[in-house]
Amino acid sequence: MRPALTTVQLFAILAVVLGTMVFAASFAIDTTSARPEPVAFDNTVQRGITMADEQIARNRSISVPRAQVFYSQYRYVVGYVGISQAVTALTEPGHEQQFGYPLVVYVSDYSDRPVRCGDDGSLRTATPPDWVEANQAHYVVDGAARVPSGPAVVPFADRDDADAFADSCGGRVIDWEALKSHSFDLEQAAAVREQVGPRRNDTNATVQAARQRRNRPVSVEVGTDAPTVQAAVDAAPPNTTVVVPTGTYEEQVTIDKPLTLSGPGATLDGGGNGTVVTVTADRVGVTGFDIVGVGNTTVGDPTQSNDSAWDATVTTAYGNSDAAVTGRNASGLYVANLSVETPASGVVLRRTPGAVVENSTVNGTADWQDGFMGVIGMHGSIVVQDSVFNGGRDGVYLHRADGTAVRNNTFRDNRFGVHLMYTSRALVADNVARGQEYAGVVVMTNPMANAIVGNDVRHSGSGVMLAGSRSYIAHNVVVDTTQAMSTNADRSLYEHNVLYGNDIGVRASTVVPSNIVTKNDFIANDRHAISGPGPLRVYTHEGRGNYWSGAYDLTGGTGPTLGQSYSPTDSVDRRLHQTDAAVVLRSAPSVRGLRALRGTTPGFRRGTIVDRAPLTDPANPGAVERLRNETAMEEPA
Amino acid sequence: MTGETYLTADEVTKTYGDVTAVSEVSLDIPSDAVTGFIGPNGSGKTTLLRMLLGVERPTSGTVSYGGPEAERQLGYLPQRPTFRPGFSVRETAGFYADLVDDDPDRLLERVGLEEVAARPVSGLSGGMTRLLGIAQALAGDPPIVMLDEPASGLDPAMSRLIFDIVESIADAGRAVVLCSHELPLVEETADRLAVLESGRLLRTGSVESLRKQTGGPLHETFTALLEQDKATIAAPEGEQA
Amino acid sequence: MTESNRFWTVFVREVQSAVRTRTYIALGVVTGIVLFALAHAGGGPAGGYVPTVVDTLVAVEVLVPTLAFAVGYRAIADPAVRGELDILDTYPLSTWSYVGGVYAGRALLLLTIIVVPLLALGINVATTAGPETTVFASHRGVDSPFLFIRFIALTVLYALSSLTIAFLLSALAGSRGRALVLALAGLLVITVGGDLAVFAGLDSGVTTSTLGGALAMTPAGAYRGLVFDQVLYVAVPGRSAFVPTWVAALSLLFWWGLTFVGAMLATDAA
Repeated sequence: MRPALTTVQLFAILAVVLGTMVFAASFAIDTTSARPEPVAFDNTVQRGITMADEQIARNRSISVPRAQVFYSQYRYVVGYVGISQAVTALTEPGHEQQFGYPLVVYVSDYSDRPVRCGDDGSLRTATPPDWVEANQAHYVVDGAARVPSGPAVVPFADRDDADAFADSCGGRVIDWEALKSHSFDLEQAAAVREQVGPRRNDTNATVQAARQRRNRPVSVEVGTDAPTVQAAVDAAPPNTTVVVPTGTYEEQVTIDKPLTLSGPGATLDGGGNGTVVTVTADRVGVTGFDIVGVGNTTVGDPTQSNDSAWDATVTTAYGNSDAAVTGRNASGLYVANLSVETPASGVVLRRTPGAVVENSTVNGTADWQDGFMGVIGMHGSIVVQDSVFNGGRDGVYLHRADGTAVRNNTFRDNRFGVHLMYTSRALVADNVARGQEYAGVVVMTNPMANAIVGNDVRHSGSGVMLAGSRSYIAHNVVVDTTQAMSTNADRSLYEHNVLYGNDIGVRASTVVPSNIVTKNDFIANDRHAISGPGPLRVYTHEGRGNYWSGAYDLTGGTGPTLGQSYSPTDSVDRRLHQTDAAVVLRSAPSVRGLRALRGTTPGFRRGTIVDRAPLTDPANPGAVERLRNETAMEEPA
Repeated sequence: MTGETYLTADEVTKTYGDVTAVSEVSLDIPSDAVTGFIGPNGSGKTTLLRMLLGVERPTSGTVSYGGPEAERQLGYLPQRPTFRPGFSVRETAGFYADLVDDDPDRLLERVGLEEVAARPVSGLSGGMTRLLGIAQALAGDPPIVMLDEPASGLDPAMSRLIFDIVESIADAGRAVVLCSHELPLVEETADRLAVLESGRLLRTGSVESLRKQTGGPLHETFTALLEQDKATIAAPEGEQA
Repeated sequence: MTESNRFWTVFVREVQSAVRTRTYIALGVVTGIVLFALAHAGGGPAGGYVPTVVDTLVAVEVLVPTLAFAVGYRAIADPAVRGELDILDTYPLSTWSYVGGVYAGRALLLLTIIVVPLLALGINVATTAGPETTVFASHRGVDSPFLFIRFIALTVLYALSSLTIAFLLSALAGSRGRALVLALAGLLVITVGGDLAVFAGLDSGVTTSTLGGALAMTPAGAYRGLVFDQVLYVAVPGRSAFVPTWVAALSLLFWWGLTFVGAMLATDAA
């Protein structure tokens, strides 16, 4: 007769059975089938739209179709404004390697919505769209419907609704698979690189055109033909030059016809109240003055705005400061060879497409908080080149000045050297910035397709701070800043930059990493790179990474890249250029074991950057060699 | 008085490679009696004992059990018993008792260890360890109990105590087998002797019958038997005190 | 007295013995520290279950047999040397009950040392993993606690197999010194030898098509293969046939059973 089990034995058997069942169950459960429900779009990590377009859409009640993507290895829900943006991102090479595959994609569902494409083609609906799984939806493409950024792709859960929309707004209906192979022709960062040359050429053309203002025949000479400058301007026929001889002229001037006002050696003194020269006509030239006595009004009163534009308050607040020269609603303005002393702004340009400021010097306030901008450019592309901006708030401040070029200028001791707001497709090239309180070049409000090339920023708060998307940041040199670059932009290309002796080389700060960072030289920075939230960043592109001083390779490779990965965020690697003991620790079996499989879960890793093919030698040897000679800084052994 | 045969060895031989440890030994182990194995070191006493126990498999020959039906047929005290450290005397006895549904307290009482039941086994003296070994050997009341050098290395008082216990075990009707060098005590305790030398069984018989052959106390009998044997094989002599 | 009760008696004594041996507590604490330190050095727990597996897999693969040998290398050799096996031979205790009981007790100890830290790590992941900011909506991705439970389950199987191998060598040893040497040798074979043998066999016997099977034959290879196959596959889309799943699973079970039987036979002979 079998004795009864004791309680303990019973529990033991129970534990074994239970454990086995839990284990068995863990294998039986399909962990990959979970499908998260769509979330409120405002809670997603949003990509794909510039803030300018976003404001326009809101201001004009345009409905922009959206997508939200749940990636297998990425914890945040990524929201794309514009279906084309989502498709472009999802089909990008390397995308899956970084985020994992998409578990589920939802797109806006315009079925059963009173959706229309108005007279201007803008997509509008009174009822906000719902969500539908992307592979269940039907898409109307190539029709008349538009959103601020371009043609709209409009998804419908119901095929009949899609057909009906296509009937009224044009276009054809395709499914998700077809959509994924559809080319949207979005500007990529690499395309921006190709545009740098053309942009330079366009700028040259703009400058050449503006310089025509210098060649006008002299019609009136102040003192000889007219008592005052204003009188001379009033008297002069259009398309002639008013000459102002050497001397000091205490007056304010308004130019309302296409004239060139030329005063090499002359000083205009505005009397310390208001703007000195105001231009309201097209094709005006102002050259060769020393301008003093500018009023000290900086920020305007935004409540005075009576404009309905979304940015009316910005325009009012920032576009009304006192200046040496102000141009409004005038094209082809040419401002050159000025020397300005100002407690407010130097040149304020509002809606002055094609305006050129060159060979000028603006001396602002010693403390930036007292003064304002060297050049303000609003609503229209301008060119600022070969000029010097000392002190004051921002050297060049741009607001909705798409296509602007800022090049070959020198900025000293400002808040920001170049400051872009809502400005896309700009060219910021070959500027020198020293001693900025905050940054040499800063780009805000998520614009796109900007090119920041060949700038040299030293001894400043930050070097190049970038927001937005699809921009090209290359050949910049940043030395001795607290933070050389931030990659708060996405899908941008950072190449051939030299970051030397900064506290931090790169701060990777986008939540959704999508930048290409390659062939840059990180030398003697306290931290070559650090990373904010978000998954692993891979700073390698097409087999080429970056040069990191300190990175080494014990595998005996002799090629252009090291055999061992380098991670500037890794607690061991980041000390390699500071102590050789890090080499010993890096060779420890436990450290190596820890790294063996890390690459399999990039999307889950937070705050890390890895370069899988660090460069053996600097990518920009010339620049690096010059820097090493120039700077007293010794790279630690 | 000896009773029925509980264990029979029939021509058991044990060889380790070229070495013959035990050679063709045939032997009966009777109940109600103490059978003593004596012989010089290396004579094969322990090997024979272990074959009788079934711990060691004979190279040839058989060992057959003829005792009463029992859950545990044989109890065994190895030469130098050691017990798993970290347990008390009571727990150690309890472990063995549990295997045969016995009462550990009864076993400890039987060998007089109830007073030190709570003591850890590592804190026991050599003699007490031996006693615990005997208690273990008695667990489950085996008809046959085999003791390998139960008193070697102990002081005389302890040796005496152990042999007294051995005697009382046999009195309970068991067959007891022991190997020992303590000839006076063996002489006193054993009913039958088996004299081994170089793996061979020289003689078996009651203590009296062996003593008659030589006329002296057992150690003389023992020495005489060995001398005879040595003479026949012309062993090299050694100075003996 | 039934056989299963004798098994239980032996098992209980092993467990008591383990509980009383303080060095085992130290072993467990050290294991826990190593696993936590490693996982946190790698940042896995902040990322989720799968990254934690990734960070600890290499260490666990070496730690598990090491601990198994630490716990098991004297399990049979010690009582054999002590004469306990001879005494127990005189009891109506089958080798199965004895070796099984000792094995069960040591296995419980080993699994406690390994599983408790892993479970703690899992709880740590559950409480710390997740988005760094709550500004954005977040989700789990393919990460799942079940994947971690699978990892633990496979580790348990690997530990149990390693322990039987330790038992077999312990039973074969015959002395404490030899037990140590055999244990170290066995450890080397498990942690390095199997993979090296397969590696050396490439191009001379092991072919592309048999590589997975060959790896699955070794305990460590089978374990690693199964972890890839059942846990890490979610992180490596497009790759799934790491090792033949059933071959690897059966291989581990086979090692477990075979070496257990071997340990019993060797104990009988000891």
